[in-house]
Amino acid sequence: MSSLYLALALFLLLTLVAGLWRVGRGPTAADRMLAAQLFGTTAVAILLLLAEAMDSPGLRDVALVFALLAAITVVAFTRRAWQPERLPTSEPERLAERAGGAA
Amino acid sequence: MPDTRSTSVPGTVRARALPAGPGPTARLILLLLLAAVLVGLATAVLSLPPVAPGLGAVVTEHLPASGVEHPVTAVLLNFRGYDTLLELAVLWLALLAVWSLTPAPLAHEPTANPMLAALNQLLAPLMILVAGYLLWNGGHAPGGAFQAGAVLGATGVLLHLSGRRLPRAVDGWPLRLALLLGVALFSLIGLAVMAGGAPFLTYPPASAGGLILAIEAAATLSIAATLAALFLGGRP
Amino acid sequence: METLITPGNDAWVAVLNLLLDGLLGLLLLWLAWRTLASADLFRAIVLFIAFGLVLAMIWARLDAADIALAEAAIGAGVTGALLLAALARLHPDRPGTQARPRGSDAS
Repeated sequence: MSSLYLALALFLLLTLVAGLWRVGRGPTAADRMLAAQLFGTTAVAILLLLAEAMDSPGLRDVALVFALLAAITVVAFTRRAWQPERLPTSEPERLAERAGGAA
Repeated sequence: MPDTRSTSVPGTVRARALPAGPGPTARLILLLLLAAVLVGLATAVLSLPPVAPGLGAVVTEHLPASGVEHPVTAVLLNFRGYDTLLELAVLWLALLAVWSLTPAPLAHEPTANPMLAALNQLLAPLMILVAGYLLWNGGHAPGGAFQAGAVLGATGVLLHLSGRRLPRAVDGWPLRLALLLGVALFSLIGLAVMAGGAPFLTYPPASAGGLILAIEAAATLSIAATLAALFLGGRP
Repeated sequence: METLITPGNDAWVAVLNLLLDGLLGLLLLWLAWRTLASADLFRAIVLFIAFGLVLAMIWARLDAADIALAEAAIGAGVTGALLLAALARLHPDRPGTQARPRGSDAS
């Protein structure tokens, strides 16, 4: 089973590399931040797989800490660093802007 | 596509703000210096014995006398306790430096966020629980004071970000006491064992386990308080 | 997983270990370079957070769960939030940030 876990961990690491493209491209700060959040989730999965593959149960605690603390960075981001340049007045407008930004 | 990159984020330092790079001669000198460092490092690494003896065997041999079952904790808190004590002092000095620079900014958080409040109710108790788990784990598995303190400090950061503030009564000497507790208890125990004729920080094997747990608990609290206080960005 | 439990299984594991470690190492170097070379401070912070994640995974691969745990706790819990808050404080006057009076006395 060890080779299966390692192969899955490698695949997840490749998806993390793909996520770096979004960090580089953006375009908004929220895109970059969410990519980093996604990395946190991927890291939890990789660490759990490695814990099995390497028979090292201590790595599960590392995954636990990552899962628990992932929210803090994004809370700091929303509370301190991020505020839309121009606050959309209504929800539809906000959605329209989101769609426009993604295009 | 309009340049929307990061306009919503502060600190978008453009490249033009940077000073001009070094000239060609300076670049060549830098390159030569770096190459010299590379050659030096490569020589040093290649001259190392292929299998370093290390101190693993010595640690394993003395593990039963250390009071804990996890070799890393035994090294950090017992065999090399002096280093850990000074590390705690360094963390504390860093906070002193931040406090001497500026008072904490007037922290008026935006309006209370119901989602953040719900997240707090869910996460904060869990984080405190995990911090306790990591502290207890340090005796026999990966974990210990530093990791537990970081998780506990992160709890403080989360609570601060969601607009909770220390009550006035805790703001003064109780906070200072929490910051000092780790270094103080560590030093006191280290000095107390000298009364029995042992060198500084050499615990008697019989009571080493309990002493290490006490030191680690105090250090956890101090590390957490220091990290959370560092996040304030100034003297409270 | 019958196909993997073959005499070649050990070779598979060795190849996968090599690929995983190689990719992690290259990723760490690339992230370090991009973090230092990025002119946009916010992007540098996001890359630094990713750097911490990859570093924790490398410590895990080196069988140093203690250090991986410390890196995870500090990197995910404190450093990211600290850097973002510092960035917001560096540029309080820019539009789009919450105005935070610099150095004003709280008490």
